[in-house]
Amino acid sequence: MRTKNGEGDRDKTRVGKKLSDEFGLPKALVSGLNHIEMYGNREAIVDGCKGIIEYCEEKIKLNLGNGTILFSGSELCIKEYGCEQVKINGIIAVVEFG
Amino acid sequence: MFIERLINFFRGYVEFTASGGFPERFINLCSANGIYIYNVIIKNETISGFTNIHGFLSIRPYAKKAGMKVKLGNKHGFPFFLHRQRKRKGLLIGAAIFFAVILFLSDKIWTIKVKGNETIASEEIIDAFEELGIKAGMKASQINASETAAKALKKIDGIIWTAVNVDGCNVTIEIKERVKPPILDYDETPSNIIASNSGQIIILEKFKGTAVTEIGSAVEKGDVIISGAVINKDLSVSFKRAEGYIVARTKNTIECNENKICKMRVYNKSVCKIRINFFGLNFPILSFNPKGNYSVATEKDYLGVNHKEMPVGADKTRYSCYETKNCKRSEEMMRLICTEKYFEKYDMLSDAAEIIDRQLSFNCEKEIYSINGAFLCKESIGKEEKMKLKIENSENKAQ
Repeated sequence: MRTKNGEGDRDKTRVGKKLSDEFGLPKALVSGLNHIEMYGNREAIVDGCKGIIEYCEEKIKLNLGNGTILFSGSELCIKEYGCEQVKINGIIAVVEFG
Repeated sequence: MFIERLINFFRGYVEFTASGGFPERFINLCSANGIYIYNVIIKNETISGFTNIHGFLSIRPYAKKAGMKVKLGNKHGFPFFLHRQRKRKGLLIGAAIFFAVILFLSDKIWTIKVKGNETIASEEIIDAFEELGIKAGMKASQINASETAAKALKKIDGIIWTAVNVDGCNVTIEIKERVKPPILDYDETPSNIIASNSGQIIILEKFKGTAVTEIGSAVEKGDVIISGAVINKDLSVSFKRAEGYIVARTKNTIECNENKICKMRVYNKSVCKIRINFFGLNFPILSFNPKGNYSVATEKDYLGVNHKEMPVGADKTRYSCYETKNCKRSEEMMRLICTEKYFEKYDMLSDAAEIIDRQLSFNCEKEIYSINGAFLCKESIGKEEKMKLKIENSENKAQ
């Protein structure tokens, strides 16, 4: 069942996509999508994290509000967590969106 | 990374470990409630990490909510260091004194440097500015640069521009010296050229006046060689300034004698007066009045940083007391002193004339050592001598 909020987010994403396509604006600014940066397979920075769902040495699963992201690998650790930004360090083998 | 660690050091940070319960919920609760946690590592269902002072004070309720047992470990950083040292009053007083001294000294003038002077000595300029109120040890805020510069322009001769630049604890005095115009010789007072030494003329070049002798003639010291009196075509006489170039073959002698018995200073005691200078304030350390004969030497022993003299140090005045005694010198000593004197005179002679031939004789008789030298030289002997004229019945007569 669709919620009202879910519809609003989807509309926002759609409008942002259109703006981004038409005017060439960066997607991170207008689309409301999460900004994810990766430095090789050693570090990942995720903006707009709403919470941690799962955390162990081999797996870190984050709630992005409109989905989830799963980092799998080894020696994973949360370097920093604050202001909806998570910095993950370790050897990242797989990134999965859900 | 270094900046991050530096900030954490000044803000203070605490190690923590939490076990049992739900680590994810614990981390989420911390983040939602503004507790900054970092370097969070999970191992065997135990998480360890770091948090700041705010986290250290308020982390426990959230751990309890997540069903975790939290243990706080070592505390690091400046706030915790201060907290540990709170009972050490001496440290606090020392730190307060340190900052007070820094505050006091940072407003003082430490060094004064002079730039742009070529003929005027830096010491002379610094002394003049000291009289106008700018000296090492004074407050930098008391300096009125433009007014002092204007006064210095009037006070110091030979400068056309000056500026006083205060740069922290250093003062730089910049000056521009006056370029003196060349002195032009317009003197047309009637004069003769006479011989400054006896000899035989080998070069005689007359530029102005009348030559009264010729090449090959012998002249005595004081003889007129070129006269300023010129006979005109109408047989009248006019007096001019004689000019010319005269070289003669001359004989010169050098005589040096040294007595075996001489008066010598025998130093027996040396004492030192010391005054400590601290930013312009003088404190006498050792003070006394020396008696008898003494020679005085002053020296400065000041602290320096990067080859810059600081206004902190000691002014030493050394008094060396002596007695004058008659002493006998060895022949070797007499010979050495006599030779030294001879060479001093020889240098003077060789600067003034070209030496063609020389004859030297050494003697040591009746406790007197002597060196005699006879020299045949080529030298310029022309010397200008002003004429003394008396005007009688509108006629000029030369004396």
